Amino acid sequence: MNRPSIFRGVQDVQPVTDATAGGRPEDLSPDGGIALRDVCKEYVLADEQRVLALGGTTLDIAKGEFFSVVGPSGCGKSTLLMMLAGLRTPTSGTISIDGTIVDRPYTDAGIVFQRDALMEWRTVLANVTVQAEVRGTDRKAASRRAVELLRLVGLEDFVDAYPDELSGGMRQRVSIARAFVHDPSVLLMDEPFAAIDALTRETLADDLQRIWLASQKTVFFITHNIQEAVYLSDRVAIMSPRPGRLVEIVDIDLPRPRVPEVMETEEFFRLTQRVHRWFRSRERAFAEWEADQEGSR
Amino acid sequence: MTATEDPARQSTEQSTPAIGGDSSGAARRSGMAPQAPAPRRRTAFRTLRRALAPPLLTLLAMLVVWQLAVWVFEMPSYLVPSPGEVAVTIGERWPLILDHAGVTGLEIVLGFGLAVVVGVSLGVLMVVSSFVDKAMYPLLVTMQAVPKIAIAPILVIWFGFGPTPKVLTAFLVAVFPIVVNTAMGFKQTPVEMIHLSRSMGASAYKTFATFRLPTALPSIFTGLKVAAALSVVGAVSGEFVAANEGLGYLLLTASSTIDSAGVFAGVMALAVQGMLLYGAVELLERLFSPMSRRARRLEATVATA
Ligand SMILES: Nc1ncnc2c1ncn2[C@@H]1O[C@H](COP(=O)(O)OP(=O)(O)OP(=O)(O)O)[C@@H](O)[C@H]1O
Ligand SMILES: [Mg+2]
Repeated sequence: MNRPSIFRGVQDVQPVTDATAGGRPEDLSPDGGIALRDVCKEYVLADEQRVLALGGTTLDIAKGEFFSVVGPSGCGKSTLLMMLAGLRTPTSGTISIDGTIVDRPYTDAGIVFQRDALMEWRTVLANVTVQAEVRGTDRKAASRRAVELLRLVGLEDFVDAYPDELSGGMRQRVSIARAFVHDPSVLLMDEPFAAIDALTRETLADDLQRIWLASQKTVFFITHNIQEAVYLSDRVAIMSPRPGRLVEIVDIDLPRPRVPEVMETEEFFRLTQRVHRWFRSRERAFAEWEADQEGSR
Repeated sequence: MTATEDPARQSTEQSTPAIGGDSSGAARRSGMAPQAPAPRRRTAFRTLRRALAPPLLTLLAMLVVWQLAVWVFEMPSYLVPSPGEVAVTIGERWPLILDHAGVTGLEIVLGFGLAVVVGVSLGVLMVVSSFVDKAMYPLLVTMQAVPKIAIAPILVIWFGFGPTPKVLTAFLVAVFPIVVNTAMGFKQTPVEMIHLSRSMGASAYKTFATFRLPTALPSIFTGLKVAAALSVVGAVSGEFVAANEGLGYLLLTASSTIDSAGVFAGVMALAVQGMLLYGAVELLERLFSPMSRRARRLEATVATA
């Protein structure tokens, strides 16, 4: 049985990290953003079989940017996010945030997972302020900020409720507030709205845009919903099937703040089509890209 | 009515469908104004009464059926004594019963206590170290299948006629559910929680205290409650094998003189001991398990509604 141990995280492959692989550290993320240089991740399964989850990925995300990733299931999106969070180590290549190499859990980040991972035994407020408790920062200040954030996501009446008294959408809002409460500079979100119905999703996206605009954090956002990606992001990256690699990055220069009406504009339609193109004839589009890569080598 | 109350009330209504015998639910649904909230003490009392009434009524019904059966079928009292006779026996012999109950009680508490210490530690170890897990898990599963009570005679050979073999038998039967439920409880922490904790820079201890232990406690307490009942069985079985005091000994001597009322009196005393231990564990759970603090709040919400 391969269960995670109580104190350690999931077992990782020993990294073959080479700090100089994609340039010296001082070249990395000079503007306070995120920089990836030739990042690969290979998992070794129980039967010694190796799975290349993420092909060599080089990418820069600017400070304060809202960056989304879409891609087929199993292409390595979550793997990428976990490496950004410092919760998994790249097999090769380097990741740096704000000029420092990420080689341990990165604490200046807020994370939202697909499953909300709320603590059922704590009130909504205590679920948010757990950040301050664990980090050993000022609890009173955290609690004030938590109430403010909960108001921003429309949960002001549920501060003292327990998670099982909330709907799925409300629970996910709590975990969003939890990810913002310690005012991290980076926000990592792994399909945060995947388990939520389409209508609630749109209001949640608006909530997220609102608090992001007020805070201007760097956001790394994974989604399967192209409309959502285009609606929220400054740039949308498309990943190829496993081993995942970035095949295109689409700039979204729709004006901010974006309102739902923007989804009816021609420009919005054009941008979503541009992303969607990759998935409509998925095999062919990615195969052609693959061939292109071979040719240009 | 605030929005927060509503889901809580619904879920508790579902979980106690038969108990809410009064018409407040119907009144609420038909839009009648709710009564003014009762004083706190009375509310607590009402909650208790609602919880206790159904089992007590069942017990009473069983006693009545028992008494009637004895009358109707004219059973000789050396075969089946009536509840009345048992009560009289208990009344006559209570100093003796109390004496022996003290011996057995000590064996139960020692055996159970030892099982808690060893069981919880072993359960935690199994989760902390995958080596201990791999080494222990198959053994535990195999040992589960061994009737521990069958080991009691050998324990008597090793440790004599004193309380030691009884304590050890109680320990042996009680320790397994504790280990298994402890290990299971700790493994229930969602992996996302561990990830979050690490991203907050939490130490191993902090992760344990803040995320692991609270998720594990309900399961641990389930194990403790099963173990509480089993440790009574263990101690009495130990006494059955060889003893010159204790409730098990009392049962055997009463049985050998075909003193059925005496046997029943002893069984009652054992049942009381088992319930006391179970109650103590439940009290601890109410005090320490964060989930049950949460459940209590639900009760309060319903009682004041
Ligand atoms: N802990 C692990 N051990 C071994 N292999 C893993 C592990 N986690 C992921 N993988 C493999 O790596 C690949 C990428 O997984 P990842 O979870 O990053 O995909 P994803 O893009 O997030 O997919 P989805 O959209 O379905 O969430 C998968 O093929 C998976 O089998
Ligand atoms: Mg994923």
